Amino acid sequence: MSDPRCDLCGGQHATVRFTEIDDGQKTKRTICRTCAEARGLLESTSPTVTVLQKLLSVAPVPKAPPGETPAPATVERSCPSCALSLATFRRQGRLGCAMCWTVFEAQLVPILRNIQPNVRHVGKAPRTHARQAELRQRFADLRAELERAVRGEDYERAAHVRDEIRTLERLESAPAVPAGDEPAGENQP
Amino acid sequence: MTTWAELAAAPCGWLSDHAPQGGAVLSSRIRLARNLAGRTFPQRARRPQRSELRREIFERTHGLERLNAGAWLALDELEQVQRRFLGERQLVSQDLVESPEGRGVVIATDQTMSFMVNEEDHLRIQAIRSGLDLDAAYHAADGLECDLDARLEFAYSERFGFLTACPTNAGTGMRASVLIHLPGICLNKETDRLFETLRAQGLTIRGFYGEGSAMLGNFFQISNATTLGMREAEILEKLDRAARELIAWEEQARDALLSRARSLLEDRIWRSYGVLRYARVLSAEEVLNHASLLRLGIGIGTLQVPVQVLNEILIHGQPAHAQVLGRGDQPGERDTWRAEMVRKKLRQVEP
Repeated sequence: MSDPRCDLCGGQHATVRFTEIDDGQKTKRTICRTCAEARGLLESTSPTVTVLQKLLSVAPVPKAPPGETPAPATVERSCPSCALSLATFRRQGRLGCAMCWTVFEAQLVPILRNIQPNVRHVGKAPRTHARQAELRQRFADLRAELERAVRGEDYERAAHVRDEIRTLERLESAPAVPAGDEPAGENQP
Repeated sequence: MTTWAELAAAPCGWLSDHAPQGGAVLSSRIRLARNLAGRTFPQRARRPQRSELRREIFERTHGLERLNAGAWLALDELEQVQRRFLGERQLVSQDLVESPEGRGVVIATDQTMSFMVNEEDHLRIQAIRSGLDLDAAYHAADGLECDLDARLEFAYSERFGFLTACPTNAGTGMRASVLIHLPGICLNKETDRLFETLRAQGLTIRGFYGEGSAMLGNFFQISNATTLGMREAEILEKLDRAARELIAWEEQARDALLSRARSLLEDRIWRSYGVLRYARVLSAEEVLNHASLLRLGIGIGTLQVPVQVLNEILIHGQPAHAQVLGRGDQPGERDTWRAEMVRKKLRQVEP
């Protein structure tokens, strides 16, 4: 007996069965391993998939060789931090915590497209983020300058810019100094 | 530290004389929504969690210099009338007045700045200025936000900006609003066009007390509808421009009314003056509606009363103010106190 076709991609060898609960509606699905892995339904070595699994708080399905009856899994998308389910979010229109913004990003983007002029923030950032953004910009500027200096064969200038980049890198990779402690390593050679 | 009683006895700091466009615009307000990183948002948090977070925020913000002493108030330790009093001064939302458990508010001594704790978001930072002065209000709110940013860690993402409970507040988390008086447009029956025009500009229009409130005294609250994908300065500029356009429209509506029915309009204004100047019993709504016509009368030069006096009548005439300041527990007593308060204020500046 051949495997049913995958509900998602239409390909053969659909061996993973699960029940998706979305907004209280239960849907039984049979899908192939590739689709299951992509949705984070199977254990995988890929870090993104592992993160996705955690985010979707889905118990991994044991690998079933083709032909065997796969173990059914129940999937309800919910936030691992505050346990808000997609259904509740849809009903109340409110998120439960900052992590919900990551967990429900795929659902949020179309909502935001409808109600906001743009889906990318351009305004004020908190102090710590603003500093990081500034650093990134400084790096980009310095790298561009280095490239220009090399292209113009101004090696003295290039060496100077390179040193500046290294200093900045050292500063950035240094561990954060806990509040109240004296900064260490100022007299390093 | 300032107590609730001291706040109640002090004048409302955001009502000042000589405000820019003060005839038409009562106040400009900025509200910034912020949440703390790694904490469940207030509506999803349990009550003890909310109380604990309030305690923590109060502790970490204690002695904030910008608030100049300031009041740190747990709303569930106040009586309902005290909470309503704060609501009438626009210092807390209706939601905090109705359900105070685990919620709080921190108010600068002059009452022009405050932040609510555990509203829909952990922090709702606010600054109010008299008249049309969005830049000054933003500058104040932004300063307070920076102070809080130094003491607390905000939930933020590069893509979505400040992370809020409701997607309609994401990004800047900023709601800028002006409370504007448009009697000419109302008397000309142009309110439908007013609503349409503002909606088309991506702005929200509401009544005197904000969300879901009725259009009392021809006052409207105009605010930005969107928060993500635009810089704070752009949002402020857009709202400021819209407010100035409304003021010009209101002028035109007044001119049209005057050329069509000057004596009828003046009669209505003087009748309202008569009611406020001599009545012995006045409800809050009556005060709001008659004061609206007096304000119009000042605008078109029919009578000379300082706008500041009308603003005081508006604020002090509200129910909880009458109850607290007049110490009248029954609605009847409050209405008598209110009429007396209004008479006294108008007598002092009799034209």
